[in-house]
Amino acid sequence: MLGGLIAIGSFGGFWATRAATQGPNDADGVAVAASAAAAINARLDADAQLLTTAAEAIDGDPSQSDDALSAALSRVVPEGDVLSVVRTSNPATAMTALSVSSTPGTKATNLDLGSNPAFRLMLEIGRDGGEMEVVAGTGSDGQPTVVEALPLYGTVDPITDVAARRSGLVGYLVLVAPPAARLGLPAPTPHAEFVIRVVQGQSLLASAGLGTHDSPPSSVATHVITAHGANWTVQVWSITPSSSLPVVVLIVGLFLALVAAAVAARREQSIEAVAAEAESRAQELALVARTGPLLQQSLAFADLFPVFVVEISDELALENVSISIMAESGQLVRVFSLGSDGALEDDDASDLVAPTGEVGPNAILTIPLLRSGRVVGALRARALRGLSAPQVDTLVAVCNLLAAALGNARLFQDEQEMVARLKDVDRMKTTFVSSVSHELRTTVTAIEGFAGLLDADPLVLDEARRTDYIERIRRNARSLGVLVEDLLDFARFERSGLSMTVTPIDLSELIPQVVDQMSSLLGDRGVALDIAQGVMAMGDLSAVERILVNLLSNAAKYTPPEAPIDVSLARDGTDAVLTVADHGPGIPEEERERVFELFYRVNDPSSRGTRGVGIGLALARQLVGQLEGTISVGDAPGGGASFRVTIPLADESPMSPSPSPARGARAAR
Amino acid sequence: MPGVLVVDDESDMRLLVEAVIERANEGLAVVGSAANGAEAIEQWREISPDVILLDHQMPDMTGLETAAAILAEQPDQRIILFSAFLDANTRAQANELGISACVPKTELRRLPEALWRFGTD
Repeated sequence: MLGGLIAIGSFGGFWATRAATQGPNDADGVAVAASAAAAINARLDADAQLLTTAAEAIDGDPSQSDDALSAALSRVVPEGDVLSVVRTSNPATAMTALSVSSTPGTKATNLDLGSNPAFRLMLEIGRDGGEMEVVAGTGSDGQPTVVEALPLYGTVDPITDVAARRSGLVGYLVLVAPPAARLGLPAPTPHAEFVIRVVQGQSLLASAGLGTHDSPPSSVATHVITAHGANWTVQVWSITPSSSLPVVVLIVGLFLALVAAAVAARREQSIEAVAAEAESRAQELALVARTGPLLQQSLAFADLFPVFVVEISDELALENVSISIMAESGQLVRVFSLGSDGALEDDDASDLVAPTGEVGPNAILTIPLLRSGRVVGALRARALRGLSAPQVDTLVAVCNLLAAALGNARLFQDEQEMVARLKDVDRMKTTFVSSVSHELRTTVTAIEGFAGLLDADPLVLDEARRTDYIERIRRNARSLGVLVEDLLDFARFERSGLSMTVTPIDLSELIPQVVDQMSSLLGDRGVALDIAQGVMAMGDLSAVERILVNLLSNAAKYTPPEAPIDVSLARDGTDAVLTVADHGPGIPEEERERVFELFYRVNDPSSRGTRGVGIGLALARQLVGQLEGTISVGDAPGGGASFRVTIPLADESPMSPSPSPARGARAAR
Repeated sequence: MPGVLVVDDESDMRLLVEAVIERANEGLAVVGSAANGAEAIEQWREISPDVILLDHQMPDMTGLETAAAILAEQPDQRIILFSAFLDANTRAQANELGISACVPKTELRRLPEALWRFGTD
């Protein structure tokens, strides 16, 4: 019995061994995967070399004529390869324009690379990195296609600066080929013991061996490739050949075959575990290695987020990735998202903790972006197929890189804004100095000049001239007075704010008085008054006077001589509304906020040289603000600008019935 | 008698310049006046003055722009830039254009002298 069992056992053992030599075993699968990966790597390296040689042959310049490019490239393109030229300075419009082959008669395939997001991203990364990038995607024929692209900058000298690469891009040299051949895999065969598959995420990129294998493989060995920007997994499926052995033989060998299978299964499990561990380590390193330089390459948020998010989504099968950053209010504000998946804005950011351990499919991850232990933002994503613990660690690691880059980008942005502001202030200061000098000198020269004329020869001057000169001196003195008041007010205001005594004042009485006092400054321009009676507002006499004086002198500057200035006073709810409208060129919509800025003057040729220094309206706004009112500018009915000031009404102001306003224009002069 | 065309957007300044030249009685005559660049070019074509006394800061066309237009047609036209604010940059541009001289407005009293010196042969 024992001998029989041994005999049966030997017999079964024989078949088990034989099955192993006929079909593939798992160790072989791992070896095949490793050697296929090495072959692909070697092929990509060779292609990079080929593209570099080709770029040198055309001096890195794709703008040469088709004939010149064809001649230069046909000398370097090897048998069976096709080199394509892309002429573009913008990856979004990249399209292969010319294809050169060592085989005569090869047709050019016009592949629209720019319209395919995966290709475009590769071209952008290649442009910024200055090196060959490889990506797989669906070609124009619907087939999986591998594209290798080398950016061209019009020179073969290396350019080290990302900004220079971006501005210098003139095109790409591209290798496009059916995947199996391009990757150096053998052609598919029906008699293979292994199926070699190159996959990216879930999509099959290339296969050799039995081609697409429908039934599950007996085992799978994997190997990860990271080269020239490509991140692929080589899978080797072991195919057990279908047996035609007699059933009896199988039954006889069943016992020991089961033992052998159990051992093999354990071995397979441990190999799988090691392979999976190795894959996730490689994946982790690859992702960190890819995102690190990406984040360093750019200091601008707009460049940083899309590339980063696409990169991690692709690698870790993430969806609905969004990035939020901490606003000054302490709330997270979403600054970038790919798809949308709930609002992160409402989350309390202070207690965000980085996740650890594996997560299941469709789990939502929220990872804090930490800088010096402080939450500066958060990344949120849905893990489509779940993530292993090492993958979660990887995601946290790249988020740490992102946090560091965010800090740098924010500093950079602050710095840029500061530089722009300082330049603006500097420019305004220069304009201010020249305007004030011009204004002061013109007025003083006029006063001095007319005084000199009066003084020098009083006898020959007739009465009319004398009166005219004196009136001109008075007008210039008044204008000088307004300017000096403005400057002094501003000096005071900048130091401590203007002191005000806010009491109920009768605007209906005050406004015509101020207009009368201003008449010498207004020249021939009449003022049409439309004043509601009995309007009492909470104000300071001198503040309201200065607001009106500044609005009137502004209107006078832009209203042609003879045209009137319209001043009206009315009630609107709980506010008194003062309107000063001129008949000048008006203020363009986009400048209506800026006219109230200090030293700002409307950027328009017709106002260049107009007198003024850019203080009056800024001062008016400050004063109105202190009175808790508002000031704005819009279009006047007859063209021109209409300034509207509101000041809160005093409580005792009669609200209703409103006394009928004294309508009708009267000339102020 | 050399004729002067006075260009200034301020009526005060035009009047002053005319009065100062008249008062000086040194053989100069104001033959025309204009309040902006376009008017100045029109007057210049019409009356062919010996010298143009040109303000710089004016609406629409600056003095330098006006001078450039005139000198492009007649490079030997005498032009004196008469401005309240003359910085180094304005002076350099004036020099490059071929403007005869730059006189600050504060030198109003010495204007007749400057007109003789830079505005005539």
